[in-house]
Amino acid sequence: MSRLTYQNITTRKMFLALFAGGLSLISATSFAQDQLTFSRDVAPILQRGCQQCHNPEGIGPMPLMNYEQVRPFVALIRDRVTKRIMPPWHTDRNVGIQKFKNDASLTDEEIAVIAEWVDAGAPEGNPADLPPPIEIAGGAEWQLGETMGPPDFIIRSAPYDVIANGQDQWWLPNIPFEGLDGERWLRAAEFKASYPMGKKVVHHGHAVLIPEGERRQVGLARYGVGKSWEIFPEGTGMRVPASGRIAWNLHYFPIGTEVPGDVVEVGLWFYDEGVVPELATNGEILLRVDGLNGMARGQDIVIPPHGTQVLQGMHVLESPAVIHSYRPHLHMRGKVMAMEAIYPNGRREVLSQVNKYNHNWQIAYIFEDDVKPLLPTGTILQFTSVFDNSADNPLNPDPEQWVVFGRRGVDEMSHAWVGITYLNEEQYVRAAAEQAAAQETLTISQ
Amino acid sequence: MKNSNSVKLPRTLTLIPLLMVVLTVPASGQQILQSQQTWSANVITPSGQAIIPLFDGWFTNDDGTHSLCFGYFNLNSEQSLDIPLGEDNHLSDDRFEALVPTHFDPLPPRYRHKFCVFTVVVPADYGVDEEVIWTISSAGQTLSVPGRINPPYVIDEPVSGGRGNIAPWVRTSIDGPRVRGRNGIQAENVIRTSVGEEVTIPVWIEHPEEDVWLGWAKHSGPGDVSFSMAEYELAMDNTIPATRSTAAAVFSEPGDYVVRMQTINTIAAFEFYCCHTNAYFNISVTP
Repeated sequence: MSRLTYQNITTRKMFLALFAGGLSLISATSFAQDQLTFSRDVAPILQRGCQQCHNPEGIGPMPLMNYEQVRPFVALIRDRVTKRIMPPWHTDRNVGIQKFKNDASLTDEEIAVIAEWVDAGAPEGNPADLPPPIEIAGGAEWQLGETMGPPDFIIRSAPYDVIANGQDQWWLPNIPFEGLDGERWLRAAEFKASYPMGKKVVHHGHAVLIPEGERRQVGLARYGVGKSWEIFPEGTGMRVPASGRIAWNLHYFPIGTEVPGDVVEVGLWFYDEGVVPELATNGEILLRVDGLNGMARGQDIVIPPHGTQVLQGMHVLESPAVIHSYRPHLHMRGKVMAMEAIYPNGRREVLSQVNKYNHNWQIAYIFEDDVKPLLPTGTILQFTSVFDNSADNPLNPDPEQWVVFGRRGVDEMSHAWVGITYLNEEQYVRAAAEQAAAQETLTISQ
Repeated sequence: MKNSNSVKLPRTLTLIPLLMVVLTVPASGQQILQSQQTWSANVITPSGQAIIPLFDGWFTNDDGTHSLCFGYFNLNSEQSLDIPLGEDNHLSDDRFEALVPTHFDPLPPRYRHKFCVFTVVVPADYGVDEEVIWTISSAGQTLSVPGRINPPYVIDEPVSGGRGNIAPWVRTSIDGPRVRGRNGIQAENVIRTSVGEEVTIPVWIEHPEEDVWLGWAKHSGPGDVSFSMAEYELAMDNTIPATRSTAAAVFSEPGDYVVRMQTINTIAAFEFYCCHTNAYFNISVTP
């Protein structure tokens, strides 16, 4: 007999068995560790992409703050994220600028994680793996409060009684603006509908300051569902006079419940007194897509039943400009709006395109600083809008109607709110050089 | 940091003429046939194009019935069309009385289209799946639109909150009943005149604002109607119960006409869909 005696063989077998068992145990553990879980893998995604709206005081229809809240909706969540219906972010991912300061979309990898997790039975995993809970502003709090502190100044609309049922309502109070000691420069503004009902009935609104003795208008804050605040880029501000009148323009939509005495607030954050930013901005300006010269606005909107229509509008820049945000506006039949630059040398560039426009979301797409379009004098901003009056449009209230221009949601219009700051030639040359240097540095570092 | 004086104020942008392309629609829907229209980058041309019937919306009356509001969009900026009632101009349901127009004015340059030129009153129990379809055939196109009690298309009547728009009260005689809103009022008496003779059509308006807009138009009839002033702002005299206004009209052919008057506090309110008042006057013209 060999030196492998029976005892040795037995021991060896036992060792091999134990070793094999150990391997199995290790494999099982590894498999368990590789399996996606809510606690470790999905919760961080929901924190980043969902919980700002899907919290007990948010506008989402259900909170998604913990496993118990998420589990009943996993199939729906999978459907919505894989189709990129949620989070709401409607830019075309294949053209134009793709870097945004407020990008709410999920990455392909995040979507894959959610889908795979749901397909595997949506296991919770170890709650000890959960990330720390995030701070979320309450429904009645300022969204910018955490980053900007409380507003320096608050203006309020006059109360309005929103009826339970009826057509769109437009409330246009005109209220004195006073309380500033002198001219200030605005850094940021937030338009806050009341909580909880104002957030349900205010579709969009504007607070425009008409300074005393001046003809200009200062667009302090502009709101649409999905866009409530604006922070101007570093070194950029909006000149606000000490007094004037606020022309409020509030578009309410009845939802079946009376909302008496609704008041909208706008919070203003200023640069420190005496500080004058280098660049003066008008914030968002309205650039029309619809309209024919010499005629009432929008008479070119004629959308047949079950049909589509394309409109284009062009605007020439009479000075250099930097664009910091883009917010298309159409109504229920809106489907696409593209913003394209036609440079003085004829070169064309699609800056941004929203190809899944949804009337329920008035999102402002805020460009990252290093990719903000910097445009020379003579650039044409061309906007192309597409309306879809077919039954395939899920928001279409009646595809058998002819659709023309009007102010109601069932009518149509087309314009873009463009966050833009005009420059002089010196500022433009300097900004272009800085942007080129930054891009060269980025290229080298890559 | 630069002094603010060195920063130029924003400059205005120049809006250059638009390009517009109208796409044809799938075979299942109505089409503006490219073969039968003057192809143009502009959907609006001076002449040669069709009348589009529009459903402006619906409202509930005090007695529980509902009114379906129909307007129209003339694709011509200069050409008016006359389309007699019948195969080329009809409603799908003849159970309901309606003052369907046969005359279609050019596209108004100052406001979006001709709003709610007539209503169809349907019963209180009219179903959401029921409809009255208005069909117009013109310039080689047969186009139609359904009027339905569809909740998103509800309109306020005769007042609307927010903007505070109020439909003017209208009388067609100094002692007659006053009416406001889009169902309108039909003058009791027939006004008689002869071809080429100028006739005065009076109306009395009440409204709390300083002035209101009035528009006069031929609603139906065999010949042309010219008005001394087809559209104007009327200053309200609120020291008296109602402010009188008149239209001077001349008719080119003998026959029976209907003249339509619309009044609203401001034409800017039309596109907010509240609220104007219609009035209809029967004119008998002899040779």
